[in-house]
Order: sequence, then structure tokens, then C-alpha cells
Amino acid sequence: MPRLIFYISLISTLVMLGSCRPKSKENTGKYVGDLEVKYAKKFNISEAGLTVSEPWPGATQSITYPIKNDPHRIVVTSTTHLPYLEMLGLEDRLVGFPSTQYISSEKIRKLVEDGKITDLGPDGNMNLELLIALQPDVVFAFDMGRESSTLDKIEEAGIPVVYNADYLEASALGRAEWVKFFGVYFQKEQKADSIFNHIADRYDSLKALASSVSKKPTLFSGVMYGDIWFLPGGKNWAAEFYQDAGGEYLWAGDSSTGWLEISFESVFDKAQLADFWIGTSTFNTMQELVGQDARYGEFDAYKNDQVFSYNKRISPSGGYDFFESGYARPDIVLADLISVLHPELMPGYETYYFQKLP
Amino acid sequence: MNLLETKSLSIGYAQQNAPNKLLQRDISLSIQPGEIISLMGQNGVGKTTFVKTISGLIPELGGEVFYQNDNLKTLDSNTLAKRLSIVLTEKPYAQNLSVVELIAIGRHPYSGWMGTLSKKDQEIIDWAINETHINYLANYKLYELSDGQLQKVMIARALAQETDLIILDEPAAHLDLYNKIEVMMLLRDIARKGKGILISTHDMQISTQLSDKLWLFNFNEQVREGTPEDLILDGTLERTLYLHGYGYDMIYGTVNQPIESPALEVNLMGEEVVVYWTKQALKRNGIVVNSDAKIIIKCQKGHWSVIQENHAIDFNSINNLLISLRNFHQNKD
Amino acid sequence: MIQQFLETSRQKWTRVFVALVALFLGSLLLNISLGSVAIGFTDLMSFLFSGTTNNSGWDLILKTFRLPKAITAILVGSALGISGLQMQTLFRNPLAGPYILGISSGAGLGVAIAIFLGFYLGGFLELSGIGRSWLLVVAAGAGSLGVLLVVSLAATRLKDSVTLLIIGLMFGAASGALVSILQFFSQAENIQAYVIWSFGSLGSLSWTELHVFIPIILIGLASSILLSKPLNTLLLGENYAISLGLNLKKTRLLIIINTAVLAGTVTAFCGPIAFFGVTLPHLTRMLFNTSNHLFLTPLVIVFGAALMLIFDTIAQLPGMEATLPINAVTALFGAPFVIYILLRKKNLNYSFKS
Repeated sequence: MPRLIFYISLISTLVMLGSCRPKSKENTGKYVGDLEVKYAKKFNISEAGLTVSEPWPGATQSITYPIKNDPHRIVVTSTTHLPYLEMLGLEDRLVGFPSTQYISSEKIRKLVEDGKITDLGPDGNMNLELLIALQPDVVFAFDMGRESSTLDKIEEAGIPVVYNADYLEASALGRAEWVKFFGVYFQKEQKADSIFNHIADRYDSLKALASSVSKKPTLFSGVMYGDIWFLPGGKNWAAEFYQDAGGEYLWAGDSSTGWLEISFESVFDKAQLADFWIGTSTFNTMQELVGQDARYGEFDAYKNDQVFSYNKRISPSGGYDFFESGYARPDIVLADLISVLHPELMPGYETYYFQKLP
Repeated sequence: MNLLETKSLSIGYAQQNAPNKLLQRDISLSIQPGEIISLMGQNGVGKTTFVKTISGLIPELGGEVFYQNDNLKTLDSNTLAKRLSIVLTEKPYAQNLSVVELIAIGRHPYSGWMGTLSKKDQEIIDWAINETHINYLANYKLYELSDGQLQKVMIARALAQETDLIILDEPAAHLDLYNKIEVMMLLRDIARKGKGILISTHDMQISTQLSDKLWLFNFNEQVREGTPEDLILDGTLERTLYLHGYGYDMIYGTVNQPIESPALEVNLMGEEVVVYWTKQALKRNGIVVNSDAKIIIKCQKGHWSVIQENHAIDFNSINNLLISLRNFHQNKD
Repeated sequence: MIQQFLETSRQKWTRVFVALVALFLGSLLLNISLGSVAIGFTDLMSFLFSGTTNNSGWDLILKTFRLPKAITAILVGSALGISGLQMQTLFRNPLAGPYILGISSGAGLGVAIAIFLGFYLGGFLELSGIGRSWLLVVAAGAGSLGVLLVVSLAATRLKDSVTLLIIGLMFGAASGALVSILQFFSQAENIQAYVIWSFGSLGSLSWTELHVFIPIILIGLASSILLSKPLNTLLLGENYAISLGLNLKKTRLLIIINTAVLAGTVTAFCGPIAFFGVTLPHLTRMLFNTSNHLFLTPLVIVFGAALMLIFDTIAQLPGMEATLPINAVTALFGAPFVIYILLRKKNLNYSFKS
């Protein structure tokens, strides 16, 4: 109830101030109405505001956030939020972030080093005092199970929390489209729209290029932890890439969007003769792989030196850039994968995230 | 030769931040083969401490202990195990061992490294089972035994350990009379065949009827040793067990009722056994037995005659006799 | 007459053992033949006799996965069973198990330190060239060893076994707390790696690792057979044991070291495997109705191996691609069984005087 009152007063205040705004933004309302959300399923844009349909997994109600905001002090809680800020030129508004050592973006790392961004501790248990002391205008958060009392406390302190559900998107473009979410929130819709259209167009043309091949190489993914092999399900974000890049992912038939936990036997039986092994989690060299388990060496893909992973860009503290900015640039990811699977289609292309395992 | 000998032994226990607590000092006692000795005394006087000290479980505070002339301190645990075995009141902790398995464990100091039993081991186990007459129990599991049977099995186990000296702690506790007598007879048998037996007990039957000697422990006093009868007659037993004031009859080993005066006095004659039990009943009812009394009761099995000034009244049970005597005594007043 | 008893006893136990060995071989065969991938019986037979199934993929699965896993299961089942038995007898406690002295907690702490302080996932390893799995083995082993040293020291000074038990439990609590603290400050993938380690795994030992694992466990099992006689003597209680010439402190120390080596090695190579060490001795005692360690020790070794093979077969979820962690199966069967023991106290009284 207090939140509702807060938002109503906020909106009324903004509407009242609306008349004082400079002319260039006069068309804002109409433009927002025109903005379409084509791929993302978890948020929507309308005159009422930004609606997140599933703010956390299993949520029964959506939340609508007001638009026309101009916060100057923001906190985000996931590295995946950072690329959107950087694309929109908003990274200097960041004042706090949990576990800053895992950030890959060079620009933002510099800000951290200069002391402009406060480290708020582990993201599961952020330091509330520090956060509140920062007095941010808004916090962008994600909450896997609606258990976080930390977020409740932040709201209690009068700081608005915006729930991001970008990680719940199942499609690559759907996830990337969240740049529009941030764009609308910060009144930079035009920029966001143009950025996304560029990405989407590039993605589509790459996809068309890859679909022209006659022969699709087979591939598998993932590694073992203990007795269990973890690999993406057939409808997982990663699996979609493999298909779009002109590859035959051996578990494409599976219908889950999450991760599969399979026995070594099953993987070996299906993938022993596969052409490619893409995505080896935290293993960065061929030596490391067999050092963990000699059986990895029995896969044809290993023997033929066709093992690739997203470890070309790793920050000094061990963070993978792929997991930070990869979601925002599916076009680059697709380009990388096509050049891996069908190098003849992309002569002279230099991969950005992926590389052959040394 | 002495199976066990203590020379000026002092026992007690160590305390934290305080000097040792001395319970008994200067104990010089010995046990010969064939002797049954009962150790008696109030709780807390040091009986258990004494047993633990001579078993090597706790250190002595002074003096020495000898087993067949070997100083206890020089004996390793395996050799000591061949000189001394114990029977405690605690039940073995695994109840689904079979009787034979339990007794076989008694051969621990002798059996092979995997517990394998040699011919000799098997012979001794058989002997132990025969001695204690538990052949019919051999295949039973411990949880199937009654208390009395279990006690005999535990004694058999101690026998299997083939030691010359056996120490028992309250061997007859919790046993019904029949089993208690069986155990007592078993111990007497074992002693007769040459072993030495030391029993720590509160039981008067065991100490006065079974034992060759008593060792009496008391607070702040030297240990007293002697045959039970000597110690009864000179009042030591009564004193160390704090029995005076309870009307303890030193002759008959019974507890008396306080006598109210004037008491009825009678004279008893007749069969020894009947006279004895009649006297017990009369004492319990405050009636004094005096050979000068005017009233005479002739006691025969099943027939009592009360004769007073040529009158005779007959009774066929002590119960009826008592009823009549009580009435008579009341009416007199 | 004891001659007669020994004779009937020998006959009976010979029959029992033959049946048990048959069960063991049966479960071994079952374990190797069932898995996510269907390998026919005739193919399996041809592999066992000629070394190949004429399908290189299947050969590889059998040779590098199923066979080492079966061997691991056998040794783990025996090792955990025996160490559980020893702990239950030494401490006279039906709920004791191989981990009661804090062995697995120590191992967990070692692994937690290795993972959460960044040694596991990170650049350090690439430089050293040590395989990741060996790192975990060493870390867990070091943790177990640390606990063993402290507990052994305590064992030589304490007269009372119960105090030792409490020290072990406190160790467990302290280690658990430290691990929580480390987890709290860690990243998601490190936490995941630790959690997966704690599920236990029988199938991830390479032949190189087995070359170290097998001899250690075999030595441990052989020593435990030598400890059968003192354990039997302890069944009478500590006072009787001492009076029978048993050196209590030395025996206790040897038993603790034996258990720590068996349980610690298993945990180091396979992670903590719950419940099995507690339930197997009870199951064996009840099924074969004996507390005599001279029989119980070999029974537990063979029966433990057979049962672990069966549990592993179940965990593989034959026919399905998915697979369960071994801990899930042992706990699923173990926990209700512990409750069952407690409810059927009547039976328990026969093994443990209460």
C-alpha cells in the first residue's frame, strides 16, 4: 500500500513537472506507445509503464514500473545488467555493485578502481548499511525465489527496487531486448531501440547465412561434476544458438529450457563421435580437462582438437566476459559460433568470446 | 603360597587441586588357594577402590601388591590377566552373543590372534561349562537367559580365563534364593578345587555361611580380618556394619524387635528345628524365651502344647499359637 | 562339547558365506550390466571373457566407467561398513558411524578451503599442472588427517570413550560452521562445485587414482580383520576387557586410526557418503543374528560390498539418461532404516545393552 501511494505521488509529480520539460522530449509519450517488444516475453511497454510479467520465477502477478525516470545514482545487482547501462552510456551513474571483483567491463572496472562504485559484498547477502548509505535513486535486482528479505528491507528504506527478469528469457534475442527495458526506464528509448534493431538485424542475417549450409556438424556441450554431466537442455538459450549457427546439437530434441544432469555413459554413447565440443564451463585448457578426468580424451572432438569454449575474454579476477556481455550481444555470439562451425562462411573473422581450447 | 598378598597397602584416589584422598591405609592381607574371603563394609569405605587397586586399574597410594610373589607393578596386562579374573554386576553389552562365544572370549589371554581356539582352549572351555553345570545352555543367546543363568555363565567365563584368583562383586545380587544358593554352592566347589575367591558383598548369608574369612573395612580404622564367627562374637561385625541399635542379634544373626515390659516369658522344649523357628516367631512378637519361665511350650512338628500349671492347650500351627498367646497376654493385664 | 558346537557352527557359517559370496557376485554382474546405455548380456559376457564387445564405444564405457565404478563401489561399501562397525562397538553406540569422529567434516573443510579460496576453479591450477580431481583428494585427505591427529592425541590422554565421542561431534560442528562461512562469501559456481562434491560420487575415479585407492583400502580392511579379536573382547565392556589383558588405550588408538584411514580415504576420493556406515552393521547383525566380530568382520566386508553395488545400480537409474547421486540412494534407504531400528528397540537391546 505505501508503495502504491509512493508511485502515485511520483507519477503525479512528474506529470506536473512535465510541462516544464524541454521541447525535445515532448514527443516522448507517443514514442513509447509505438515501441514494440518483439522477442522478450517477460516485459512489456505501454502507456501505463514498464510491466514485468514475471518479476521472479513463479510469480503470479506482474509489476508495472513508471517510466520517465531520471535516476542519477543507481545500483544494479548482476553483471548482466552492466552491458545495457554501458550501451546506453549510463555506466557513470552506477554507485554500487555487489562483488565488484567479478566485473569484466574495462570501463566499469576503471570506475571501481577510481572509487566511484562501492562494493556491496556478496550478491546473496548484500551489505544493507552500505547500500542505504549510498542513497541510490533505484536498485535493479533479481530475486530467484522471492525469498530475499534484503530486497524488502531496501524498499522499506524508501529506495525503489526494480525486478529484472532478463535471466528468465529463453530466447537469445528476447534476452538482448531488455536493453529496451533499461532504455525506456531511463528515457533513452530511441537509443535503445536503434541499438537493439541493429543487433536483431545482424542476428537474422547471420542466421540466414548459416541456414544455407548443406551439412550440419554434430556437437555436444558441458562437463562433468562428480558423477553428473551437466549440459544445456534442448530449449535452453545456448541450444538455440547451436541450431541457429548451423550446428546439430545432439540434445536438440529435449524440451527443457534449463540444464540436464546426465550420466557419463549417456553422453559418451551419444557424443563419442560428435564433431565439436563447445562450452567447457570453467576448464580453460585441454590439459585441465584430462587432468580432471582422463575419459574426456576419449571423445573424438577431443582427439581431433575441436574443443571450443567461451574463455577468450577472462578478467584478471577470473570472470568470464561471455557471462557478462554475451547475453546482450547475441549477434556476436552467433557470429563466433558460425565461424567455429562453418569457418568457410566467415573468412577473416576474428572471434570475440569463443576460442579453441589451447 | 599366597595367591594375593598386600603389604602395607594404602588406597584412595587422586583429586584435582587437592592432596590424594586416602580411604584405607596399611592393609596387609593375603589369600591362600582354596579360601573364600568376603570383603564387607559400608558404602564409600573403599571396597571398590580396593578391588580396583589390586586389579591394577587404579594406582595404589602406598605399599605393594603381590601376585604369587610377583609385584603387581612388574606384571604386564596379559600376565596379570592369567592370574586374576573378575565377575562384575554389569551385564555384557552385546546380548546376542551365544553362551559359548561369551565363554570363549574368556580365553583372550591365551587364544590366537584371530581368536582361534587351540585344543587346550577348547578343553578349558568345556571344563568351565561342566563346572558351572550350564551344558544345557551352551547354544542359547545371552538375551534368552534368566539372571541366575547369566550369572553362572559369567562365572564360567571367569573360570575359562584359568586364573588362580577370582574376584566377584555382589555375585548374588538380584538373584532369587534358588539361584543364589546355586551360585554359593558353585563358588564353594570352585574354592575346594584350589582356587582363591574374593567376594565384595553386603549379603550376610554369603559372608557368614560361605566365607572362610572376612575382611572388614571401616572409616578411620584399620582393616579387620578373621573368621566370621570370631568377628561376630567379638562385636566387630556389628560395629563395622553399624548394626547396633537395630536390635541385631549377634547369636542368631537376626534383627530383634524391641521388647516391651513387662513381657510375656515362656520356655521352649522339643525338636531343635521347631524350637528354633518357634522362638523366631515369639521374638518377633515381643515374647521372651527364658528357661526359667513358668509357661512351657512343647514343640513338635505340626503340634504345639502350651502347658501352664498343669493345663495344656494344643495348637496345630504357630499362627494359632501366637493368636492365643497375644490374647492371653492382653487379658492378663 | 564345544568341539561339537564349533563343528555345527562351522558348517552353518560356511553355508552362509557361500550364499553371501553368491549374492556378491550376482550384484557385481548386475552392476556392470545395467546403466544408462543398454549393453546386452551376451556382449557383456564376451567382454568379460575376450576383453571386447566389438563395439568400441561400449568397450570404453565398460572399461573406463563401469568397471572402475564397480571396483570403487565394492571397496567403499566394505570400508564404510567396517569402520561403522568398529565405531559402534568401540563407543557402544548404535548410532555411531564412520564419520562420528568428525572425519568427513574435516574432509569437507579441506575441500571447502580448496574450492572457496579459489584454488579449484582458477589460474593457480593451470600453472601447477595438478589435475583438479587430485587437488580435491589431497585437500580432503589433509582435512581428514588433521582431524585424525587431534582425535588420536585426545584418545591417548582420555580414559573415557564418551568424551572422545563428544570431541568428534564438536569437530563436526566446528568444521560445518567454517564451511558455511566460506560458502557465504563465495560465488555461485564455487558453491555448486562444493555441493556436488558433497553428493558423493563412485564413478569418477580414474585408473591412476584407483592405483592409490585400492591398496590403501585393502590394507585398511586387512588390519580390521586383525582387530576382530580385541573388538570382541570389548563387547564385554571396558572393565572386563582390561581384566582380560586388553591394553585399552592402545586398542582404542588402533581402532580409531584404522577407521580414520578407511573412512578418510573413501571421503577423499569419493566425497562423503552418508548413512551407509551406520546402517550396514545393524543390517548385518540383524540378518545373521551375531555380534561375534570373528564372523561379523568378514560378513560386513562382503555384504557391504554387495549392498553398495546394488545401491549404485539403483543410483544409475538404468534405462534413463539421468542419474542420481549415490548419497540420495543411501540416505533414502538409510534414514527410514535408522528410524526402523529405533522403533524396533526390542531387537536393538540384543546388540546394545541400554
